[in-house]
Amino acid sequence: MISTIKAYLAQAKIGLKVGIKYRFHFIITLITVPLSLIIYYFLWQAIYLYTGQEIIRGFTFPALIQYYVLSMIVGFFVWCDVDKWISQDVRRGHIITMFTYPMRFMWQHLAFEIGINSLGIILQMIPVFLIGFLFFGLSVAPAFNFITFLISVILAFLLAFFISFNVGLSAFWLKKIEGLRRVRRTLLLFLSGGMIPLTFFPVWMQYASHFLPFEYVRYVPIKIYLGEFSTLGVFGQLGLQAVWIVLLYFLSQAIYKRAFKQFAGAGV
Amino acid sequence: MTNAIHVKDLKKTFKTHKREHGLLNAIKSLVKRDYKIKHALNGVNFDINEGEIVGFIGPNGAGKSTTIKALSGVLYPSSGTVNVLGYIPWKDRVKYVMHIGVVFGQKPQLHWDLPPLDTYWLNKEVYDIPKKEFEKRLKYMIKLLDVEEIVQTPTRDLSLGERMKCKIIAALLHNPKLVFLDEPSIGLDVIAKDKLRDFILDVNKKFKTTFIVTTHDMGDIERLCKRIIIINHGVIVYDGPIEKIKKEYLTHKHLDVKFNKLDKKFRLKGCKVLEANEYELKLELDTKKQTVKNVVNHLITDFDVADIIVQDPPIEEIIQKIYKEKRK
Repeated sequence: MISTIKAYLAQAKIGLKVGIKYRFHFIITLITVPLSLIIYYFLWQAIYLYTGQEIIRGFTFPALIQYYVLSMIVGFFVWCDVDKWISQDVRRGHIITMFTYPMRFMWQHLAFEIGINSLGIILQMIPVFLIGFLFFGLSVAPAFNFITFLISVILAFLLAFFISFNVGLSAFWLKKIEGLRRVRRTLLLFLSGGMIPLTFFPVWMQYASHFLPFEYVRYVPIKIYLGEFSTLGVFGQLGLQAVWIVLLYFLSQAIYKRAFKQFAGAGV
Repeated sequence: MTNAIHVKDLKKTFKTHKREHGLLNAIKSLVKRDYKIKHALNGVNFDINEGEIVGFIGPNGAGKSTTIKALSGVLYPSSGTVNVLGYIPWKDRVKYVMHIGVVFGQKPQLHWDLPPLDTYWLNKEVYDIPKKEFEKRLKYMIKLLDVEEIVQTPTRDLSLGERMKCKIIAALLHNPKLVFLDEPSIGLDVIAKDKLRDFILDVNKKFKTTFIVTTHDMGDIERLCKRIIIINHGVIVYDGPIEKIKKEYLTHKHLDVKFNKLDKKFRLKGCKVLEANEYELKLELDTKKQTVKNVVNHLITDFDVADIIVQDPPIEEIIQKIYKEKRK
């Protein structure tokens, strides 16, 4: 057991090392943050001025800007391209080398993603927090909100991983999954509240969204940070995140079993 | 000796799409697909003992890699039994592959962005190798393959041959009982090939590691293997010592004779002149009709000979002969 944990920790370390190799990528991505925030700032300033309203869909102007800062922080944290790696490996036939390696396929990928994303925390999340605090009026959340926010973000990452992992597994049948990946990214961006808060959507859509996993990837952690749930509500949301993770985990196990059988049966 | 691999009546059938070329047929295939049944393995049988180095050869599409895949646990066969080191490979994959090493000549097995050394340290944890043993083996292999600096360079910056050496180290660090080498000498120059072969022989002797080598390089086979298994059309066509192959199918010798000056015409029973010019003669000798001794005697007494080289024909020719015979 301990040796197994050590093995996956070592795999996470490899992810971290690869991340360090590409630290420039992480750092340069940071430049996009103030730029996007400035665009959102002026866009929404114009909208608020034009409509002459203090509150639109439950958001004051400063609250909305805070929302975008948090959206970016969470966005960095939950970034996961595991579907890309899987489809590349399947198409190039490299997947066979992974199957002759004594690691569980899913855990091997998860450990790697954790490793590479942990660098993102240091190089991206913390700086964006600072930018938010200093220039965009991000308020410091109470300790309870902040801690539950962190827990929620970690769960959101796991959720994003499993969504991506499930999409990636489809490559065993479809080979090229660029289109599906685009659908995944778009759904994740819009339905997680990455473009605009979900309160801007029609009521039926907001309602439907509760039954999809996407809002738990971004919208929920943001709202936890902003203190929009009761204490009990926060735990309820964390619980729902966990439920989605468990559901998608079991789904992925079922798909993986078939994927391996299909791969091993056809012999790429 | 203990049995490392037992394969009995292994069969594998694939269902593949059949499609004529051309756009129209491509569109047609969207609606109606024709399937073709392909028998990749038609009942393969063999046993391999611990500590053997076995050459596994055959032409493209003969079933070589299908067999290797079934043995390394990434392929479900249609029927038959396989037992490797007490495991059924395709059941409980992770546990099984802990005990084997696999090197694919054509596929990356090291982390592309990192030096091989990082992959080795990862393997130490993954295969749960004790630190002392890990360091000892690593040192031994690095020295033998002469890759001290190479293992510290990112894999992406290494040449094909360097990468191959590093991959082999990665596959052997955990002291596997059984190693599959798929085209191990691809991309290696003569010196590197030599080093690698010595290395494999050394590991085999020292640790009693069983090797199964698939290759198109007959040099590998001749240097490494005492036994070869030849597969074609999904069945084993030969399984035995390489010497026997040579004896049964080596009925001809090649003679390369150099002269100070060749002024007469050469004619002798059982000899076929393949090539001739003023200074050189290439002969093929049928050993059933004529002895080497006679030919050499005749050459030396009657001609102004500078040099004689007597050779066996290359093993590729032998294999081709076997293929042809079996096809009949």
